[in-house]
Amino acid sequence: MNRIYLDNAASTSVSSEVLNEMMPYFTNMFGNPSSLHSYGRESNAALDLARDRIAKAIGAKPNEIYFTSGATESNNWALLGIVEKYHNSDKKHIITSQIEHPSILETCKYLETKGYKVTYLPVDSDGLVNIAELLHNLNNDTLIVSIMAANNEIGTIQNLKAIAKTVKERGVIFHTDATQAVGAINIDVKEMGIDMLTLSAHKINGPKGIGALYISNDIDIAPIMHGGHQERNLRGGTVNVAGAVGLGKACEIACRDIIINSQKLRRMRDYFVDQVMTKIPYVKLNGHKFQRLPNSISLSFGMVEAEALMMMLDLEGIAVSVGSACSTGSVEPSNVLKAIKLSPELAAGTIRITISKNITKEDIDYVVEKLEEIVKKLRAISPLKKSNIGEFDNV
Amino acid sequence: MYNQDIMERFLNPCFAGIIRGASGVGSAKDPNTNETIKLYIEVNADAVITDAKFKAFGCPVVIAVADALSQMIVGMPIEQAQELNEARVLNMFNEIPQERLYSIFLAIDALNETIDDYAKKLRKLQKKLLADNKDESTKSTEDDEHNEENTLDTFNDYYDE
Repeated sequence: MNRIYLDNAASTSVSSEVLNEMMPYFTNMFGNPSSLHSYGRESNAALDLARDRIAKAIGAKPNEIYFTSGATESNNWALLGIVEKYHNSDKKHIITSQIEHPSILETCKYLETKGYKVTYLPVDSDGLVNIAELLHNLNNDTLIVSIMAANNEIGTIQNLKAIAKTVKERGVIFHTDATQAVGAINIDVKEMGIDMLTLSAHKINGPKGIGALYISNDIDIAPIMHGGHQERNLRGGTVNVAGAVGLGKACEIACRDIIINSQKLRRMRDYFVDQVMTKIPYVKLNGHKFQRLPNSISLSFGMVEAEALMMMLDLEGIAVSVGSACSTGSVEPSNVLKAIKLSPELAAGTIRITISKNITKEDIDYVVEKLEEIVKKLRAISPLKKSNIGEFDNV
Repeated sequence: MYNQDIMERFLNPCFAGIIRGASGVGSAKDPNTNETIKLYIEVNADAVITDAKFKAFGCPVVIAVADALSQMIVGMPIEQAQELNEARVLNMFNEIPQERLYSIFLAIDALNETIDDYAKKLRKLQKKLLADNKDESTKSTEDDEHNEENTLDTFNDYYDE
């Protein structure tokens, strides 16, 4: 069976260009980058090159890039490291948004148990944070603001520069989780006024298990991983050299190809949405209509439950993700869909489709044909009526 | 991916559908997930469920459980269906993931609502027929047994959804 992968916001394949650069660091060049001998120096040079490439991709200096195990660690470190550094100060207030990744939201909840006050900013129905609301909530106690660059479920891209400016004007530290945004939108941390930024390799055709945190040289942070002098004494543990090389190369490629990739993805994404809207009634497209990641499509199908839909698509070889449950084992509606005030019935019928640059129109036609069939089948056994479950973009 | 028994019922639910003019209709909705099961039953003069159908808005497990429950109650006296518990439904499957166990409760809730609806309709009809009989008592001398048969024969035609 021909398989079509439409879950690129979850993970992507490692590109051959990236893999080729990584391979020697699994075999011949295996030295510990902290070792002083030639083996170690080889690995250390590879880390330096990777740091250069990552820094270049986001407009940072190489010595502001710290390797981590991925976005979850970077997000945890950004919040916990700042809190730890300033634990003796009076600043005990954190601002974030309601649509952050669990690695931010759960860390904030943990910090609430430690006496910190956290403001979870609401978003509008497009998923945008209101800057006036942010300004209103910033006060003398605010230590750090963390707002994601682009949302992983609905793809909405925040007005990052305006948010950063608002936060910086109040002298507060600004962190952004750019896991989904790197390679999709241009980011320049210096020009935008970003103090810390999270990124991850496996969302941009790099390997899993490696990410980075950009920390501006103007920011003081405490480590959360102890027991090693690595990463300028701030992140203990031998760096995953092959992974770091992969991340560096993936960042370089993502930025090199950003314009061509974005254009192609946008064209395919819009064709996909057009086809769905033409062929399947009672569908809602979530997220901002224009200010959205070029590969991201969040669709709510009226009267259909998303996991049933996802499962039937999977049996046809089509991999999508369910928008209403964050993972197997959780049946709670997604915080993001709740935050954009989608009706519970529509939230339960939401799937996320994230395309790659390799998708063809034939793939899309096949997927839409299967979607149409399956939605029809599930609607035939659904007890819900279209009149009372929310508003659709097409009828 | 779920077990084969769940997947088979999910992909080919034999009892999906509706019964027009059903003896009882009831539904239940999970407060967390909004998943819904609506059940239809046909009950004969001997108070035995002769047919059952369902509609479901839910994950594969909800659909599979609704299908299994519908199958289980066909041929069952109402009294026995009233006694059905979660464990009996659970036994129809090899394994249901822990986080999907609410599907069983949802199905039993829908069944109880459906039986309640049947009982309500039955009472209403009996009351109506009693009143009709009172009006006609002067004209009619039919015995009780015959009356009862009439009651049950007309039952299914009387209520339409």
